[in-house]
Amino acid sequence: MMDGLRKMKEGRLSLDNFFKDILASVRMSRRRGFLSGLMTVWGVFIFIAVVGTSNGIDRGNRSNYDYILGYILISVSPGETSMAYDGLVKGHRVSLTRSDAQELQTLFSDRSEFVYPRKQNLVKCVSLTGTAGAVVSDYRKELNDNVLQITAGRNFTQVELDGRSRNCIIPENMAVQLFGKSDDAVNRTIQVDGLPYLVLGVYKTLHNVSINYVFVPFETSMSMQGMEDELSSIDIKLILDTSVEEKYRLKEDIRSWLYFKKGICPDDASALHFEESIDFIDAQEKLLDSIRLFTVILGLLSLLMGILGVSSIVYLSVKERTKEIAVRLVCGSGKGSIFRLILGEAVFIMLIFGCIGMLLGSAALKVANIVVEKFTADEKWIFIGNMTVSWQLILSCTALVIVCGLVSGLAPARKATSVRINQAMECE
Amino acid sequence: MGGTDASSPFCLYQTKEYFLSLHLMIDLKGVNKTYWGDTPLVALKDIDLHIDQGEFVGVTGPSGSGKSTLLNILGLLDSYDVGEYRLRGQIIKNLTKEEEAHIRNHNIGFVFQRYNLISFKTVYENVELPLIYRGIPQQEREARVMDMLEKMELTGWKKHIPSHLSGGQQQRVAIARAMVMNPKIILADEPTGALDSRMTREIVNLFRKCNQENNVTIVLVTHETSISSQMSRCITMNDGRIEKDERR
Repeated sequence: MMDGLRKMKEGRLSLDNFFKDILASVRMSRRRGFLSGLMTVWGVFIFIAVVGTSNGIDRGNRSNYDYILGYILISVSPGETSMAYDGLVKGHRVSLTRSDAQELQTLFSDRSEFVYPRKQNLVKCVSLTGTAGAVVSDYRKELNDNVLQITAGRNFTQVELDGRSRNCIIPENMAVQLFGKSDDAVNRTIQVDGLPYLVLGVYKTLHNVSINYVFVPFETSMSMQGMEDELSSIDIKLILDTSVEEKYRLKEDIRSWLYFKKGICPDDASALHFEESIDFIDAQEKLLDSIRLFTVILGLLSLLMGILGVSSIVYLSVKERTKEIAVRLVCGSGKGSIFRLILGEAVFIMLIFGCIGMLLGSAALKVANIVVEKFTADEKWIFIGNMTVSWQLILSCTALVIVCGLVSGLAPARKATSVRINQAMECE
Repeated sequence: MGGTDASSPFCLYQTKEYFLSLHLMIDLKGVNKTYWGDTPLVALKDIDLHIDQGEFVGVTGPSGSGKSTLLNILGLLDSYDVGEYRLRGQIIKNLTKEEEAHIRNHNIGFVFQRYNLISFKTVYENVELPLIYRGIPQQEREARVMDMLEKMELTGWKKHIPSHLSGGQQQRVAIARAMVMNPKIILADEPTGALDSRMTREIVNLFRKCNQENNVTIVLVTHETSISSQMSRCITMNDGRIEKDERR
């Protein structure tokens, strides 16, 4: 049995000697090893950095979706039937009510984050010194907080929002129009649709979001102009990671359900109006996909540089070590053992320096995160979010580096096994 | 046994050739070798050579006479075109590289002019290398390497790398590496070519000692007649042929 074991081991290095020889060979050619290592470090560093940055851009944009909630809404607003159907005449005004919103909330609770009943009214606002036409809208903390910034006075409290108080916040331009100055509008009363409202604060919009409403609590908005149950729209907030296909499916399902409930002809395009930001998100997703693809290609190209670098340097090493390889063959080494040794050396260089590259790449991302965070601390709109790479990517990268090592070592290893001993022995 | 069929394996045991082959280490019959380049170069022509176990053979001749080619073929480092080469009775032809490595590892020790030690390995590791490739366990390896280093008076140098050693010492390491496997044959290609006369004497004596104490067959290629004359058999080559084969 011992003989059998010995026969199996014949012509090949034991594992400890295999690693010892690789280490010794790398130690012997420190400068060469350093050079090839540097290329690997650079390749892996760039790979990690670009993938991390791509992740950051991805996260930044996704957080912006979450942030500007308006972009991830399906909004349904009432319209008029364009054809007679099932007892409904052409030109019938289809209304949306609180109960529609509640039912949608119940029916699609697992596929949407929230369903908001909305109410807007076109009114005239009057102060002692001026008049302005405006749209009065219900204020939704979840939808409006992030895109408005109070510049004077204060925002609604939750108690105020839950009740039916006659308080409002108005845009800066209206404050100037009605009172001459923003600050002067705070705690003053304006007539909205003939009723007195207290101006709690003045706001400006952020990030080029174009809103020019007088905001009041939802119930207050509902009580205006007499139609207490009728909504201006129903806004459905989508779950953030919903796929584009699912978003379209959800929109179609909501449409079908509302059309069925209201008895509208399925082909009637104007009975209910659907506005959605799916196309925008779709475009954003496509852009992000392109960025991701570009960065992955860039990263892979960097890795390819590393492979070529290591390969050429290991190739050179094989050329320089022709005599050593011949000596090994003379000493009884099998060609397979030589093949494994050279391959092992390439993998070792790639792995060690690849890990250094990964560490440096991760460290660079950490520093970049600190810098970006410092400069964008006050910004709510983020272009680049947290730039990190996942453990899965690190593990995949390690596997990739090993594969790269194998690839880069393949040609030199084949070259090594083709050494002609008698000729190699004559080399100086 | 008398009526044994000629095709039976028992037939072999009855032949004179078989009894002769028990001592026959190297047997070349009509071996030819040509290097096919732009202008073909005939390196060996109809070489017939029989070397018995325990012989100490010197191969000499002018440069380009085919000495090294012969040694390379004997050591399975090169192939031949025509003829037959038997090493310890086994025909050496159409072997795989792994089979060649196996035969080399089990039978042949090599010593070269330029020592051919691995520069980044210590003296100990250089001598140990063939034992590792033979799959010998670590403890046995250590014992055999230390024994060989002691014989070669290199124990004190075991942790040094070759560049720390003199030429003669490096050649002793090379001989130790060749001997550590207890080979049947040692093939030495100009082993004293890079050494001064004192070192040359020392190395030749070392070969003689190996030959006498271990009954190892030694084939030593040299262009120095002063060395070949010290051997029990001297083969002189010229123009790819064996010109003279003298036994003393």
